[in-house]
Amino acid sequence: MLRKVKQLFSTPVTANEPQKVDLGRVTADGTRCVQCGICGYNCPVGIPVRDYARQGLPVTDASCITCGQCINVCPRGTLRWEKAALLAAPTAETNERLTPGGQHLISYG
Amino acid sequence: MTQLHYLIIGNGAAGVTAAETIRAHDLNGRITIVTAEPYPMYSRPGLAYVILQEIPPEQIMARQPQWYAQQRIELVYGRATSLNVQQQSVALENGRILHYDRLLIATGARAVPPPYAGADLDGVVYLDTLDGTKHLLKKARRAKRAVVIGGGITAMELAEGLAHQGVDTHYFLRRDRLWSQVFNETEAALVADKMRHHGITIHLHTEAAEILGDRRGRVRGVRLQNGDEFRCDLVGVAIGVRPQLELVEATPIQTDRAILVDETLRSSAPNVFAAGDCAQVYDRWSAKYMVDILWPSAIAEGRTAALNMVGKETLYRKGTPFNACLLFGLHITVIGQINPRPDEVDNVAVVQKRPLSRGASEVWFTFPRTYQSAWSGSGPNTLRLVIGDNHIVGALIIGEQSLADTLRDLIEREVNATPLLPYLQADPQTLRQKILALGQRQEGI
Ligand SMILES: Cc1cc2nc3c(=O)[nH]c(=O)nc-3n(C[C@H](O)[C@H](O)[C@H](O)COP(=O)(O)OP(=O)(O)OC[C@H]3O[C@@H](n4cnc5c(N)ncnc54)[C@H](O)[C@@H]3O)c2cc1C
Ligand code: SF4
Ligand code: SF4
Repeated sequence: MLRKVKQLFSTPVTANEPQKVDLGRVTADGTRCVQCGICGYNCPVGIPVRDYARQGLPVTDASCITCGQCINVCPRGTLRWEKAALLAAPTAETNERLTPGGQHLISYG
Repeated sequence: MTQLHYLIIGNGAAGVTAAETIRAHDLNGRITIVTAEPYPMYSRPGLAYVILQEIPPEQIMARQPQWYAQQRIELVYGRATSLNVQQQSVALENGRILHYDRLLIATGARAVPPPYAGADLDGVVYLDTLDGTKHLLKKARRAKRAVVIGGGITAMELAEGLAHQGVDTHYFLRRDRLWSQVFNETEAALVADKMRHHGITIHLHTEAAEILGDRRGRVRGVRLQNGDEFRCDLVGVAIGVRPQLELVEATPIQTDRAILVDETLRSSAPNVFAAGDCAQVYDRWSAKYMVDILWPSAIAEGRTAALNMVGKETLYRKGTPFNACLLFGLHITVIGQINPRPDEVDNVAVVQKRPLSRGASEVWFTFPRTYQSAWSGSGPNTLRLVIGDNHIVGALIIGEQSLADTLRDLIEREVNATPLLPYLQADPQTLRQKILALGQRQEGI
């Protein structure tokens, strides 16, 4: 039920469907992470996403299928897509470039 | 090289971050963490998601036992009961004595019980510890009707969780709106509306005077201040927290509302540091010592304390208090000074008499010397800015969150917001553009 409410709500925030852009990888703003573990708990391939997220590191696990589930379920807006080629760019800018129209691709679902 | 013994009392965000940081800088030192709870480190904010059934209790463990072994950190289960600062030792409940070269007190804060009769009845529950939360879940399974008291995030999370568990949930508010220390009227109305959609009944201007019990010591209702009785079988209490200071009470260590620490997180006793919810740390905005009951603050303080414990002198720069939470499907971000009532100028004096609520900072309730504000709202999305001395000092964002990171950065770095001032009353889109432009200009420098 809550999940549904959240997903409904996250639609306007995630103006572009993550799947439609060249995904890159999942990265984290470690200062937002409260280490609750909801991300990894929902990861279909069992990656301990929290261990990356709390340190602000990108998920570099080779088994990641870039499904975006962890991004959608995080209650703190910690996780987002990052295009691997733009690693050095500042995050806000990276998001701008990733998502035409200036909508940030941060999903707060 | 002599081996130092680092003793850490507390296995929460502050204590564990400190241990991890110490290990990164001192491969040789001996590190011991003492914890009064029978678990490895878990996510305290995650407890709210446990009652919402987003995640099972065993999954909120933020560290596994192997992690302690890998980091060569000894985790001792037991309660520390006394501290001797002359002998540099801590005694545990079971009689064990631990000597230290450096001590970190990171004992956190615990929920305060209601200040009236009935607090010890069976059916009074808290969202505070993992054991308390498991107890709450068990009780909620059989409960029909619950009353929730308290004004902050935890109280709202508690109400949301109980309603989600299928309990008929009634939320009592002393004043005229939700979280009146933080929300303005529109913000409160917006959240209240969502709350009602989740099946929660809100009672304004309603204050409990006593929790009533039956013959077997179970909650049977609440007596209100107007004398009425309200039947319920569960009372969720989240009126605030109090730093856990028992360990320092019989010592010369200076305390105020919590353990007073300087910018190196040192207490007044040699080799004794404090961090997290139990520490009262210097704040650069107010030039006062302030308590944060915030996860990111606990992490940052734990890290800085650890650096100083290993001899890397580091000053703690208190960041802008920040909280991003999800309540009733609404994303809410609170940054910096956002007191909605400019008439209550120095609210700190008032606030300090009350226990602070979880996920809150005393900084939020302070007020800048000069004041301007911007407000924009459309549908479930609102933005409120507080501007003092030509920079943004606070922001409260409900709903659409794409400005959150930019605003946090502008506030944190005290960026001159003069270019923004003419647009404070502009339409939401223009204001939004101007904020983003200000953020980008800063990035370019
Ligand atoms: C339901 C809930 C929601 C929250 N939501 C938010 C939020 O949205 N955002 C946010 O920023 N913060 C939130 N918080 C607050 C946040 O969890 C705390 O600020 C943070 O956990 C503080 O960490 P700490 O390490 O200082 O203390 P704690 O996490 O409380 O850890 C204290 C540790 O000390 C141990 N201990 C205490 N006394 C003794 C003793 N005498 N001997 C041995 N061990 C002892 C305890 O067992 C525990 O391990 C929330 C808290 C709760 C409960
Ligand atoms: S769900 Fe979000 S907040 Fe929770 S551990 Fe994962 S990244 Fe951190
Ligand atoms: S994107 Fe999917 S597979 Fe990759 S870490 Fe997140 S949940 Fe797991």
